[in-house]
Amino acid sequence: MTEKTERIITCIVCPMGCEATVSMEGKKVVKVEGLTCSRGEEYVINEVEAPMRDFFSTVIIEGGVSPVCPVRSTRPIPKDRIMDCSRKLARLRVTAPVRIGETIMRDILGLGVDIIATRSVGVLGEKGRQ
Amino acid sequence: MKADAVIVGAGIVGSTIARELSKYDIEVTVVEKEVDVAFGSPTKANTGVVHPGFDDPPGTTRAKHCSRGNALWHEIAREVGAPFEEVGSLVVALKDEEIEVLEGLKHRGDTNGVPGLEIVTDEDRLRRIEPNLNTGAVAALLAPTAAITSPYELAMAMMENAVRNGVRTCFETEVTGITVKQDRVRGIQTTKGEIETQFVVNAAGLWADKISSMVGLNRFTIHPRKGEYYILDKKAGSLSRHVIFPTPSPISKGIVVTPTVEGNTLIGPNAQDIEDKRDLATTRDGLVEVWAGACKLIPSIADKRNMMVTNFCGLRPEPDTNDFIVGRSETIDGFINAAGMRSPGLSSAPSVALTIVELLRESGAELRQKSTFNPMRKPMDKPMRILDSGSAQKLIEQDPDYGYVVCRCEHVTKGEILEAIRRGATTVDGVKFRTRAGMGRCQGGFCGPHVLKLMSEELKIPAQRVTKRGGESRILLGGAKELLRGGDSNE
Amino acid sequence: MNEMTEDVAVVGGGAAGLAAATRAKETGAERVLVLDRNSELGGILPQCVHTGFGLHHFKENLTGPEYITRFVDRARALGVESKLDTMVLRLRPGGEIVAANSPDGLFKIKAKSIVLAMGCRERTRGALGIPGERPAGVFTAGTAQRLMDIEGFMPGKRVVVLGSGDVGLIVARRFAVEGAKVEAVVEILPYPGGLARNIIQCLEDFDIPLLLSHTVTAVHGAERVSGVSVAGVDEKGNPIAGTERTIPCDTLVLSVGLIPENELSEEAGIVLDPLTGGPVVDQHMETSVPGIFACGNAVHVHDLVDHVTETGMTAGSSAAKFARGELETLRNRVRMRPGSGVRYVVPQIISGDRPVTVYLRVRNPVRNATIRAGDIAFPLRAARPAETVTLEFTERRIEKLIGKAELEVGMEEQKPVD
Repeated sequence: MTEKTERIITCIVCPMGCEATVSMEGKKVVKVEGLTCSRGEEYVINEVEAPMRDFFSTVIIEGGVSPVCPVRSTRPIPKDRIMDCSRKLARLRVTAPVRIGETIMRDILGLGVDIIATRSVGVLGEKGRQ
Repeated sequence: MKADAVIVGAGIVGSTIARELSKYDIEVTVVEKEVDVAFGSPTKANTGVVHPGFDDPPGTTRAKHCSRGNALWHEIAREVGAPFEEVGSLVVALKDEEIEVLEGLKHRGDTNGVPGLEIVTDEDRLRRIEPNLNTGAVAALLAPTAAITSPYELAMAMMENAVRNGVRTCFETEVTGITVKQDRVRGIQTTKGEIETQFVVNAAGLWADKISSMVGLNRFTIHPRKGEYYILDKKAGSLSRHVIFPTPSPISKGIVVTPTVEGNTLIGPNAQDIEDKRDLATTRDGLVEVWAGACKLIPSIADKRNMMVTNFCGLRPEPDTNDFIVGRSETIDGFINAAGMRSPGLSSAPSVALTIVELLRESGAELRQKSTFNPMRKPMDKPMRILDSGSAQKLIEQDPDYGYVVCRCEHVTKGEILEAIRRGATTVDGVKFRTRAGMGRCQGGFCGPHVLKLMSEELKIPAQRVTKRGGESRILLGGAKELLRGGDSNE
Repeated sequence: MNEMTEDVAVVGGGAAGLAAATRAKETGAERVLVLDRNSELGGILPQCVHTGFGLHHFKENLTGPEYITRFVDRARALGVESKLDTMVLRLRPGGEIVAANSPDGLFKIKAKSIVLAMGCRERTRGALGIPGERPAGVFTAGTAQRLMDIEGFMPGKRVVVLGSGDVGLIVARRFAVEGAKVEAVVEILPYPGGLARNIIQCLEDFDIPLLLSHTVTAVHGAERVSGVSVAGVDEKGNPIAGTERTIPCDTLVLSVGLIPENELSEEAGIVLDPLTGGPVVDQHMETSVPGIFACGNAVHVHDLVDHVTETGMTAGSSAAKFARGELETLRNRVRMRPGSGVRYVVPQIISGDRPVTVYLRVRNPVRNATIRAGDIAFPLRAARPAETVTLEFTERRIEKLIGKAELEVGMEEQKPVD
């Protein structure tokens, strides 16, 4: 018998902030109550069954005009893999120059998502802006 | 290491004595346990008033030195390029009974030789000379020779001039013992080694009793008396023109409202006796007391709560002798005190310094004047704030770093920050107290990271080693990603 | 002193300033110069590595750097000039700008029109008067963010954040993702200051406790922060005796308010609105001084950069038109004043003869309310102080304003249906 549980989730799709009571059997949602629209239902179900998050952080740059470069995931990743991704990127050293949009790490942790640079970083000492 | 004389303490008293001694052909070393001049709290957190000299009974050491010191500071502050403004002071009576106290102070002042004292009872005149004063003020003692200065700038300027004239300084150096043989000082021990010397001048502020006990003398104790302050934004305007005092209490001159040489308003200090000489925490009750005390004198302060820039506190070195302890030991040759110099300590410092010279002579020191002594110190250039645009432009042409403004609130340039480092700043606070970078309304929010990087480059140390004021006060706790790599975070 | 002439001078090269500069160029201004105190354009955006930017303006979900890069590139492509590492020192009442940098030294700028886009600064520990010692390790959130995400350092390992506005929440998350331990986010009000999405994605995701109705009562540490005392507070925000406890930490991050930067505006004699902290502006984003416009966080603190861009674009095109002598005067000037339940309204002055978007902040969280501007009603399903409400004054709604000099914009909450 799969475990029956209930959770309260606040929907964040619009400022209404409806509170949904979600009934679950094991990891699957069986009932959602308290919402007022269908967008909310989609969000709540995903949030409970497979919460995803945009991942964003920085990576260390060598030889660049900045010591770090901001990066992001091309698509959301599972919420519970955020710290794994952060630790994976912590060991990376990227050499300048970096172009905005450039892939920094392909298919991070086998999640099917790339990590790309969100700004350009020029080489230290070279003239002209990146 | 050897020195003819060692001064313990680089506060305003130690720096002033150092500068005085640098006029003579004598090797002087100053040892200071903090990382910089004036970083012990009595000088750093100080109202910065140069008192006229009517507060203390005639015949006391305080009375002897205060008005003389006040007069000396005019010339000395100018020589060392430190700010000094004779704004005058008003001791205000808010009740008729207090007028008697004012009369007592005036009488004292007259006896102590303080010029120009006057009790003003004409309320119209009071309003004219001090427009924001509580309309309930019934009288005030006007003292034209009261002046304001920046206490840490003054101490730093004195020490710079002393060093220029040959004095050596040892910071982050704590005295742990004093060697006495045959009732004579032979040397001092410090956390950084021994210094052979025959003369020790005790200007150790809060710790002067500890230093004195190192030669076996326990004739006085210093206990800390905490005083808390607020600084108000320059935008609040000129809330007072004079230094405004309430009628004094037995333990303190009271909570003051004063302009600063920078154009801020400083209010405080209250007076709270405490046990711990390391307790430098402001308190909720103390700050409430300070605010209330200021509003009593200048009621319009009440609606300036949104003009608070910061608050801080200092500890007065309160001696149990109820007077300065300036003198040479009768029993131990070569040990001289300049201790317990809470208010009017700053005001009295130059006069006490002259006495220290005499005391050294009496103790057997040979003091021949140095022909190479140069009393003048060129203050730091502050192009954006002081220079007219013509000289500012010339300065920037000579050194473009003076055109790059780093501290937006106080308009401090990169040139000044680098100069501060050259003149002895090794910490963020060292830069702050020499340049004012970080003292403005954003409190270093913008310039902080820039100052950090400039210090790292100039001192050639990793940014993670830059401290606020020495010791463990590092600004940063690591480099990027160190906490994620698990294991050694001390790379 | 060297003097430069420009058509449009823009003070501040962040989101607002770049929007103004690019729009000024697009609407025909010839010489447009942006002045910025940083070593690169972008303002605060380059250090905002998180997503959520551009959902309205670009219909994309971008990070701060991605959002602003588009404007930096566009500005360059359009020929907007910029001076970096440049501090504007003075804005004289006549509109003369005095600035300084290393290569040019001190110099003056005479511009036909000026756009003020200085952004805002953070409220400090000193301004709050938090008692205690003064150790290293106390940072405002933006400064901590800069140290981490621009300079590449870790400002702390064990962090307490005071203030649950979005800035504090976002920085709490950054610390957590970088491996620091965030012990708590402390909030003086009984409800969080930031958006629900940030409470979830910055705090709940990382198991960071949120202490509502609490405040920091003292900072401890002789050299580096060793801990902070926190206490529960009553409805007035005063600490409740007996509730104090110490949280060991090495860093206190303050997210206790943003203050529009208006030193220059005050110097120039521009009329400020005490409710916003920024200049009173009309729907051209013009201040009380003709030819001086203002936009972005210098006018009021925004929560969406998309709105900042909107106000910047309006200011930029107005400034360009003014420079050519073509900015039409508003035929009426209807002064909007916040009524019950409303903190402030921007722009404060609308003409009442053409459509305009007005931004507003509510005082408390509400549901099922109606905003009334005179006879005009705007239904409001839900709003919180942290989220600006946009009111679209359409042609139809505007008709009702003809002849009015003042307009109170207030809120009615509907009784909840049982």
